Amino acid sequence: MVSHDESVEERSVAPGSEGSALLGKRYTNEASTIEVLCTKAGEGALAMGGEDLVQKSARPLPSSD
Amino acid sequence: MYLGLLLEMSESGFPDRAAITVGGTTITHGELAERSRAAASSFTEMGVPSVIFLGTNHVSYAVALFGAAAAGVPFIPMNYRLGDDQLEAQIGAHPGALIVHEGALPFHIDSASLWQRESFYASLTSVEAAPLPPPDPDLPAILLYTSGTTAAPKAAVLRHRHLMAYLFGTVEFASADEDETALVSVPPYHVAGVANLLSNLYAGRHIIYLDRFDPDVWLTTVRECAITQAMLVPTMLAQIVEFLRDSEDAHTPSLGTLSYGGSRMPAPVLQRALEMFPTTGFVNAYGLTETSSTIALLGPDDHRAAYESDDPVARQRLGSVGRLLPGIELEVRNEDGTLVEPGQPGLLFLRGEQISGEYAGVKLKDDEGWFATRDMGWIDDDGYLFIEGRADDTIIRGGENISPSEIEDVLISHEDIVDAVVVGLPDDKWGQRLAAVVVLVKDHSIDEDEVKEFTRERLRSSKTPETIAFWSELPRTDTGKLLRRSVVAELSRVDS
Repeated sequence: MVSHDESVEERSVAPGSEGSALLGKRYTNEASTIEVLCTKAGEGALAMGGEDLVQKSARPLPSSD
Repeated sequence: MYLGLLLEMSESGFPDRAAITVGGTTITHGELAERSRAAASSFTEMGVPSVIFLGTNHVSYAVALFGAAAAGVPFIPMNYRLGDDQLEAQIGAHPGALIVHEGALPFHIDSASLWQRESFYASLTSVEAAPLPPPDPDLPAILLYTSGTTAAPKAAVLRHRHLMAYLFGTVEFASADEDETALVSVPPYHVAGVANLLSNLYAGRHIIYLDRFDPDVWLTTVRECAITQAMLVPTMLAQIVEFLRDSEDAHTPSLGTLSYGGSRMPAPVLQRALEMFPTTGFVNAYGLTETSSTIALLGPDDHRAAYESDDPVARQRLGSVGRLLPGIELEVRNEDGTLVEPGQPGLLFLRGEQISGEYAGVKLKDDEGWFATRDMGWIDDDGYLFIEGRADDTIIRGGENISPSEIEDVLISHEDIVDAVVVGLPDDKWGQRLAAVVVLVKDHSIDEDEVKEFTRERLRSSKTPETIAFWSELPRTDTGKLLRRSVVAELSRVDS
């Protein structure tokens, strides 16, 4: 667990959490109670309370801009 | 949730992709991020409290916007076409501001520092700047003056968290293919111009700015640069349709999406455009400056379904602004605050993370977070939203509330009329009476009684204007919004 204002430079990936988060992708838990946006790619799979987060599929919204 | 996060992501995701092209200069995402850091460091060193941008779209616009955002000071794009007095007053409301400007300023300013945009931009190449710590998401990122069609323009406060909520709620990062290119013709001081910049950068779509809009240049650019996406205001689309009037097809096969918004789209223009751009997907975006841009949209499938349908209810949806974006809540209320019956018109109240509803010093949201838009509208059974105009434009004649848009739509449907406005003028008997001004198709003629009869047949006599004036054009803002205040003033002057 990392608090939001803590630097994460020196962290290492915990055993069992190998994988990676992809830049700009959204991740969620099964109950959809949380959504995480990856703003910096890196090693380590995202998990919350022992549950791995899964990548959400992109929402097809037509571009209005 | 701060604006700079967008550039951190695009710089790391696709640094070498073209970000913006204007006037022959192209800048990549990596360069944009680098120069924005340099601008932030310059602004911080100068200690400026805000940065005003005065000019047409330019690479320095994006750099000054992100530079100010990273320095934690508000960025204020102003309408360079305002009258000198109005502009001077607006600038005067931001003492100590740095003004990044195009060309020469028409008046002398004591209270601000000036930086000509080309030399500002050139100065940034020599600065190697380290990133500043992220600003508080609650800081104002952009102050945006409303167009002021019914009252004097007010500066809406868009905080970092509002703009990022809009961006994260509507756009997927890097969702554009590498060859996608957006042609942008909206001015930099309009909320559509701001939202457009953020969305296209985040999607990774190359932006090409058209310096000054011209239908011929626009069409040529779409064809030559294989533009895939374009955004226009309705008056621009009307000019394109008029320019192409003898053609059956616009011959723009690359154009996948054409979005429009900013003011009401006349139905005949949209129908002609759907014919002329048969393979293009149309998107109508509705939003306000105070809502960080789009809150509802009518998508390509909605447009084609309505266009091809014989069912009047489905067909009517061409005049709808579509359905609400995810995360936006809407209530339609009566003047007394109670909810209207489904399908009935009323005042629109909005709630959501992107809604600012705040002007310099004044918060317009209630305790539960609802923002009173002062727009009138209604929702059909399937959730499609229809906008009737500003509540302040409603005419009250003999106790009856009349929405000018309903009469204007009828007038514009006449084959000899290209543009129309209906306003209320003071009247001793009725409180207000209806006065219309129409613009005729070139070389066409029609008299006042014919116009009245045409309206009476389609509406009823209480909704038939008592006077019809014929003008060569209507006063509009650059983005096509009708300046009703000016119409009322001119008609009252002629009247007295």
